[in-house]
Amino acid sequence: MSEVIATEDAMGQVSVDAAVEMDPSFEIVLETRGVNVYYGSNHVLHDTSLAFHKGEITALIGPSGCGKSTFLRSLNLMNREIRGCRVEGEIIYDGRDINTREENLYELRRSIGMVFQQPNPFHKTIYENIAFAPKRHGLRGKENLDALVEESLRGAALWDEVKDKLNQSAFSLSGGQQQRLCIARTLAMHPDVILFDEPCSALDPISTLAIEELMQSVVKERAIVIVTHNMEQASRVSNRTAFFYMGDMVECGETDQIFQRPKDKRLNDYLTGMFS
Amino acid sequence: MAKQMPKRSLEKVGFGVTGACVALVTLLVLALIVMVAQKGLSTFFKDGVDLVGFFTGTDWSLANIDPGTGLPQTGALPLIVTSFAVTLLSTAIALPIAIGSAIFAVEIRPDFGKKIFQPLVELLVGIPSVVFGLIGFHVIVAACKAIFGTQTGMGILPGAIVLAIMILPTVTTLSMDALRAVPDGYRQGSLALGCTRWQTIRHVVIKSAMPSLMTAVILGMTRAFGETLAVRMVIGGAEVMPLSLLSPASTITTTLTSSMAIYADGSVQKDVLWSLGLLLMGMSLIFILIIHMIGKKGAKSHGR
Amino acid sequence: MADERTATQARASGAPRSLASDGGHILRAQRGDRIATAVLTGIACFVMLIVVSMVAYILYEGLSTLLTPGFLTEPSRSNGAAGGVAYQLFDSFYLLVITLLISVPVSLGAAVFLTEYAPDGPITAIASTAIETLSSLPSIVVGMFGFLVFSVNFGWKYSIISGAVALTMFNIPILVRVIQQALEDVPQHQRDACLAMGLTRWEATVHVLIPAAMPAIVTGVVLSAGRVFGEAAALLFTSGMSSPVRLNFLTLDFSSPTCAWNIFRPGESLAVHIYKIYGEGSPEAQHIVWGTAALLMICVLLFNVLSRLAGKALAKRMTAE
Repeated sequence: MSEVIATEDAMGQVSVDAAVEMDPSFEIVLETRGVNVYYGSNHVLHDTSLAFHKGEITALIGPSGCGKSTFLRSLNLMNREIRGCRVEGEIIYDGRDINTREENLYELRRSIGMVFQQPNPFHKTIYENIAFAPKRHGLRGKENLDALVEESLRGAALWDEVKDKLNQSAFSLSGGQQQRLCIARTLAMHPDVILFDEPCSALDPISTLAIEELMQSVVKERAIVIVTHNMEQASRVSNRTAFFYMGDMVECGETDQIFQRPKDKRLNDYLTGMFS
Repeated sequence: MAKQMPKRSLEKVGFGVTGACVALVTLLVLALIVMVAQKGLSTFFKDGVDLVGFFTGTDWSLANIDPGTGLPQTGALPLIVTSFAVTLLSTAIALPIAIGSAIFAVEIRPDFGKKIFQPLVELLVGIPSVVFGLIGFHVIVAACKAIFGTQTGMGILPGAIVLAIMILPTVTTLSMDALRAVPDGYRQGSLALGCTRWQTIRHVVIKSAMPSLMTAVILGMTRAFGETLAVRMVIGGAEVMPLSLLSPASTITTTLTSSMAIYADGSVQKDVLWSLGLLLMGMSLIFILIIHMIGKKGAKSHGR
Repeated sequence: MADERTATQARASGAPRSLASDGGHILRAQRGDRIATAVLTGIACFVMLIVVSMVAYILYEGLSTLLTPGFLTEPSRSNGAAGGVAYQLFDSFYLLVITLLISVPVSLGAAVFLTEYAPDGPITAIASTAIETLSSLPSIVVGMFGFLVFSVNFGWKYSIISGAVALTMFNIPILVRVIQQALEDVPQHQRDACLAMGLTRWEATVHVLIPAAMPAIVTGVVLSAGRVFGEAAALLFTSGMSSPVRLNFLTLDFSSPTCAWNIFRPGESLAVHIYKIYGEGSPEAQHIVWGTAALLMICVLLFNVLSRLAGKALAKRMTAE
């Protein structure tokens, strides 16, 4: 536990230096301190402390059932929707602990968006898929909505492909386009953090590449956290990587260091394919 | 940004409105159970009708008041016996036909079963019970009269035949669902061992679908037991112990239909009729209980 | 233990020989298979024969009356034994509409609560049991309860509204189950998507889940309408067995007993009408009975067909949009 924090601090220091050179606006957007998750009496995630920085993509890797998705779903309080699931510990966003009963999770989830494993557009038109949630959050006026839809679709590199069929069903799009639509939908809320839960596992390699490029382009003004099974993907897109194993956050650091000079034996075994 | 209801309040409103619907339905059912029970039990506790006599007595005549006790004759055994007789007999008739045709439509000609057989059978579900009764009255009763030479042709047998046709679609469609739910791997495993299709059906498919098939049959029986007007139209309406399958008789439900509107609320007779209603309700609760027990047992034997 | 093993060995070594030498049981099995197939085919044909002959018989007996001018447009005379069934037809649809107006919103709300707000837990267990109980109750018991509570205690007497409420109780369990199933069939990720954008379960349900479940819901509602339309036992003691001799469709005096739209007047559905006059001996009454039966059956079949078409059309529009 104390070791993890120590490495984390050390690594954090390194990345601060590196990031300051690249991006002067470097800052911690979201941070967890000693987060534990229980399903009933099952303790599935132990004492996890991580910080996510603006302008950085953090990859969460580890074998199935290691707790990485559970951790991800804690960050926007989606675990509250699962009966019997309990999250303890502090999750710091915008200078406050959000893991409290008083937190307005509806407002919070606008700031911390999420993209899922399966592309899950609504049974609505492409336009409505983007405009639906902002409308429900009170945005009115056709010009405002039109502008937001265009901005979001451009942000998701989808505008040119769909601008002539905004009134068609979202299901007329290909799987990769649907996933980019889901990202556009999230961008429309102008989130500070976007959580990706294995966003490419249902996609072909070309669509996967498009999503990865998209992540790189939207990360500038926000933090991105991605859970992935795909080691190459983690090493391609992420600045930092955290390795989870059996409910523990085992090691966290710059992606290059994690993949090339793993410190923990379990991480080394995982990377060399001893288990998956 | 337009003014909007805060999300938290909105969620509370949604929870409240839908919760009120559930509460309304639940309270309505509880009120129904309590009121039927209260009315039905007051026969024995308020009016002083003998509980044992109600279940074992064979003389039923609400119009005939005993001058000594001031109570009508309330031996409901003939009605109970007739109700069970039509239910069991109709199940016995419908069961082989329903399961047999379900097997045909799922195992032997699945395409035909899905596209033609099932819609045709479902058509039968939609036909109102008075129409079944009407056909029973004109066709089945007449046939019974001609074949067996009885005076009216009415009785338990035509009642059971009409009910059998009525529960046929229920039992058949549920059985088809049950058979379809058997994983294909089971069939292929058996066929690969060299079993014929019939052996596979008999020893593998039916066996593993057994709990669901039994549920289908019980649901059919529930419907038969509670069916009213179709039976009323063919059974003759004589509230006496049935002597044969072709003598006019009366079930619990048919007695209710013919007597309910006659007696004033609060009279002993009306209370006795509520006791019959309570009996019907008790039986349907027992049927539900049986279905739940089958479900639990089935789940256990599948290791779930 | 040792015995068992020798027995197994004996069987194992004996099996190939018996398979090779005695093909009799295979032939028997094949013959059994053929016989079973023939018997099952026969049973299925028998069932189809029953359905087809029933429908044909009703149409044969009733179609000529049904097509008689005035049968659908004239009120009945001499307590139903003569004339047409115009008012019964109107009352049937009026009862149905009022029933649906009450039962659809309540069932929708209950189903949403059970699937979206409390998919498990003690409240749901109690409510589900209550709904299941209601669905298995004989309709005559529901009718008796409706009579006691609505006709007597509420003082609504024999009236359209008493009948509609009784039918509502009969209809709710069917609808709740259909809508619950339809909502459960909407993939979980649709809910997640809404919640992850900061929307409430309520918004997710109203704007995403119910529209997605709409084809199944519409099919279920129309199918249940068919069942409500043909129900009679629950109506005998609630809406009554007598249709007014004269109905005025133009008046808006809702308290008048002859106002067609007055929900506190007695009414008689087609199904109840059949029950009332099936025993009348006169040939004219018999014609009316069969005509009514044919009419009732055609209406119910139309509901059947309509439910499928509506569901399919909605599903198509949703995916093609």
